[in-house]
Amino acid sequence: MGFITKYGKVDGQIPITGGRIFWVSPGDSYIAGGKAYEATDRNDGLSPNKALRTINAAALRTTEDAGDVIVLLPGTHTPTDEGTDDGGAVLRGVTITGMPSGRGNMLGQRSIVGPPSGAVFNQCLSLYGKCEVSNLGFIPKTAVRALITRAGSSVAIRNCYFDLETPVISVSTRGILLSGPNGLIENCYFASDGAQGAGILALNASASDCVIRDCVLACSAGTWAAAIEAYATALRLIVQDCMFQGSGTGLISDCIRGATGAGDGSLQAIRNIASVRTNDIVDAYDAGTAEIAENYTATVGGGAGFALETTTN
Amino acid sequence: MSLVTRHGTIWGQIPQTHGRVFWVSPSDGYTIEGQTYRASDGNDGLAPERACRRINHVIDNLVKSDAGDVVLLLPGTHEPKDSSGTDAQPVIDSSGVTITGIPGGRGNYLGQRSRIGNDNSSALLNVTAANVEISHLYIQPGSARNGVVTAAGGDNLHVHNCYFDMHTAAVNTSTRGVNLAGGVSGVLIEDCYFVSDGAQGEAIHTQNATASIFQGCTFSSGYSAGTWAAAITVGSAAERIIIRDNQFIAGNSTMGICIQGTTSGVVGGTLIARNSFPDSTAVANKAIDGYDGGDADIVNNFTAGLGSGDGGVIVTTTT
Repeated sequence: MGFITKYGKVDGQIPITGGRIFWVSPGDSYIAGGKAYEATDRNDGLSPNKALRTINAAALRTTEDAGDVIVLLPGTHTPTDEGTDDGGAVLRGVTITGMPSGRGNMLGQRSIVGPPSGAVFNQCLSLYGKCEVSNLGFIPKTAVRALITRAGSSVAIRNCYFDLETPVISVSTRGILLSGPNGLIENCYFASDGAQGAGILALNASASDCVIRDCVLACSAGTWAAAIEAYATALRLIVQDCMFQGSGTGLISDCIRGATGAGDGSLQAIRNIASVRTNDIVDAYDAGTAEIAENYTATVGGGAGFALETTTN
Repeated sequence: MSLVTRHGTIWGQIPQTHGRVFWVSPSDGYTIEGQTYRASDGNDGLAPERACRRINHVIDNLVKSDAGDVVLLLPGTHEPKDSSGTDAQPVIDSSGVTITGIPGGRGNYLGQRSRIGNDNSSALLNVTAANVEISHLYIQPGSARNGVVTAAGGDNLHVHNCYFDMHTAAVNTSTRGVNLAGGVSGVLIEDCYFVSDGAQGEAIHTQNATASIFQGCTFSSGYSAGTWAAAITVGSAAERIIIRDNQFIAGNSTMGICIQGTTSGVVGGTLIARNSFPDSTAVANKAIDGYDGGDADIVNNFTAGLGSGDGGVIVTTTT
């Protein structure tokens, strides 16, 4: 009996992808397997000793919905401007991941995607189709989002860190802009230092049926107007088991901010927790349009030890 | 189509590391797949049958920064020693290194198979570089020593699925499990078990760490009688600390303060949520203490109740 099946998987182990692995280095040289190599976009990227140099080059080599995976080696990657689609690297139906080398730490990943080069309006990654994003840190460009999900996409984003402290403060600096449906965001950390845009913004009707869970959204200074925001046309957003923390001089005004005119059932917020330095867990929804259960705000010592959230506007 | 890719990854699986795996034996002889081998620091450590002998040698001489290298400690007790055989702390000054035992399955955080301990190293693992992960280890510091200590640069440390034995060492208030020094940030400690047997130091000593989370851990003072002054301490400059979903149990001993802050801290610097604390009438416990008003936010923390009692009481005080 062979230990490796003839098509390459380990006997007894369920494969999780049928695609190719594209390796990408953050610098011109890198180390893999203890040896130094030169990265170039002339490589095929298909082995760790032939890494590509840019995310964009890897993205162009992938095939949508073919199980292809882009692996970003540790360090800070700078997407280049493709001149289309608002710039940034454009991914279609692929997985992009860092290298956790273990379980990984959502508070600080080893592989970072920094602001794109180029002067045009651009995000780090533009996501189409069924993409998965994991084990990465993101630093968006000032006044731009780190990630955007496009109409018709179905994107999972997990174990990622969004640094909204490094960009210059702008209400247009955001972590994730959801404009596609069925987005799943879990186990991510969003760090803001003031009047940045939302960590996650559900933009429009195309951004319906999304789930945000087990995330931490923290503000260390200034006032963060909304950690999570949903415009009126984004429907059936679920936010569960998240924590919102204002600390020091940091204040989160609205942990989850809706909009008037949203339809019934626009939001279901469950089991979320907010620190004292937040104003509202859920706010700005019309009466009857947001459902809430078991959401609590902390108290300081001498208080009740909890405060159940009962309002949505 | 290749069976295994030419570069060694497995078809159908997403790689978890691009680095090397260094095997380390806890003794001169060890067994792999029923065969016995000799461990030596003259080996390259890159195969299970060529294991190195000391973790210090691997940390000091073999691993590289941001290269995805993994140090794998075989089952048994590893004693950190320098090349002369003297107890010495491994200083992890290469970023992005993972140090792990072999869980042999899912692993049991109540007692891992791979142990690291000695009496005289000031720390068993001294982390001075970023993005280090420590997992699946039984960590047994000596008296007045640290299990894991950080220094400036040791950001984004991740410790999980580890057992911290703070009951074998002679009782000393300077015996600590994890000592977060150097102003580190992004520390995640989860799914660990800390056991003390009396007046030891803290399981987690958070000096001036920021943006860090301690979750899903158990802190027990019940190994034998005695009073554990504090399981977790949070320093005055610490902020954006989250302590959530942990259990504190005293058994037949006393846990003085489960989570202890300091005066003149950061407003809202610590968010303490959904922890369970031991009954405060049977033993002289305080769940949370030492904070100035406003420095700690608390929500849905309970002290347990005795049978026929109240079934648990919400925690409302931090001073």
